[in-house]
Amino acid sequence: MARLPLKHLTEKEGIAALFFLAFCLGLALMFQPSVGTSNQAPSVSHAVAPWIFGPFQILLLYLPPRVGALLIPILIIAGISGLPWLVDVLGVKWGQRIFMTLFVFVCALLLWFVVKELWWT
Amino acid sequence: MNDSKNFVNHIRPRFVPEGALRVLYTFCLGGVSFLAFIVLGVTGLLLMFHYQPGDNAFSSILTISSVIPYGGVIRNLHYWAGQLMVVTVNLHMLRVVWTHSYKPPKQLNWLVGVGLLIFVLFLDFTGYLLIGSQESGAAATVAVNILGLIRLIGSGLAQILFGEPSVLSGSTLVVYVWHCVALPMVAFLLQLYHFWRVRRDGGVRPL
Repeated sequence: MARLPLKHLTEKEGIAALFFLAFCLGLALMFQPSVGTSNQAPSVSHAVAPWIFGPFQILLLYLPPRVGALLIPILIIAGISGLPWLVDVLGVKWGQRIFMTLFVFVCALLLWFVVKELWWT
Repeated sequence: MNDSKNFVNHIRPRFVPEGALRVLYTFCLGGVSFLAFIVLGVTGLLLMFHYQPGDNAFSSILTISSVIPYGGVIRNLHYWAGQLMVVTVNLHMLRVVWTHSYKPPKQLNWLVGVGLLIFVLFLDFTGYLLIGSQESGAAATVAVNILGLIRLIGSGLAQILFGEPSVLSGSTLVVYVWHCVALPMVAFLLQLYHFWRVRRDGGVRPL
């Protein structure tokens, strides 16, 4: 395969960087993130996790803590980490299916959290 | 000079394969994640001038957001860059799976990448705790309780990771040091290794 001088890559990285920075700045100027409830205020009755940890909150809501907070996350991380070896043993098709199942499972939990905690209430 | 013997030349080689330049192959997601990390580093450093961990955390956040000139924009930028980094890192992982870039000899770099994803989630979580709100206090309590489920080492691990979080605020000096020094430093070193491995393992191949 042909090899090109680094400047070709740097130019594209620079353009991507400018777009990303502009997007970030736009978000920062337009949307003020919540700071939550002051610890001097009356206690909130129901704390909602940040969206990134929404899947955790859903798992903890319906499963025993040892299963929802330890076993399932460890299995997911192990499954994702082991993808190259899963592919070795089971083949690309099944290895990637297992990965995508885990990924979609986490996304589904996130969607469940968004609907239940952020949108529905 | 032989590229394989030079760390810097591996990270920024003089020549790159033509396939690596196709935007639609990588979508620049790894580079954009790294850029988000740099933005987080710079804005985080600026926030450190006025942020106070501990009981005054929440009021210092309010001061930064509404009193300090440009503090609100800096904090917003820090927040949004953090959220976007979680998204871009996940999309980058999907792209790697899509293009089979985890296959030999890249298994080790895949593991490093998964480690970096976990670091990003920890960074996001500790950042959330540093707000010092009631919600972050609740999140710290949940995290400490989860770690407490691990027999023998759980409570010690919670002490190492979170210190003594109060029920009303997750912000402690321990969490602050993890968020501002320890986690970013290790994540930065892992990222350098990650980039070096990308070149060493054969760079980017076209589909």
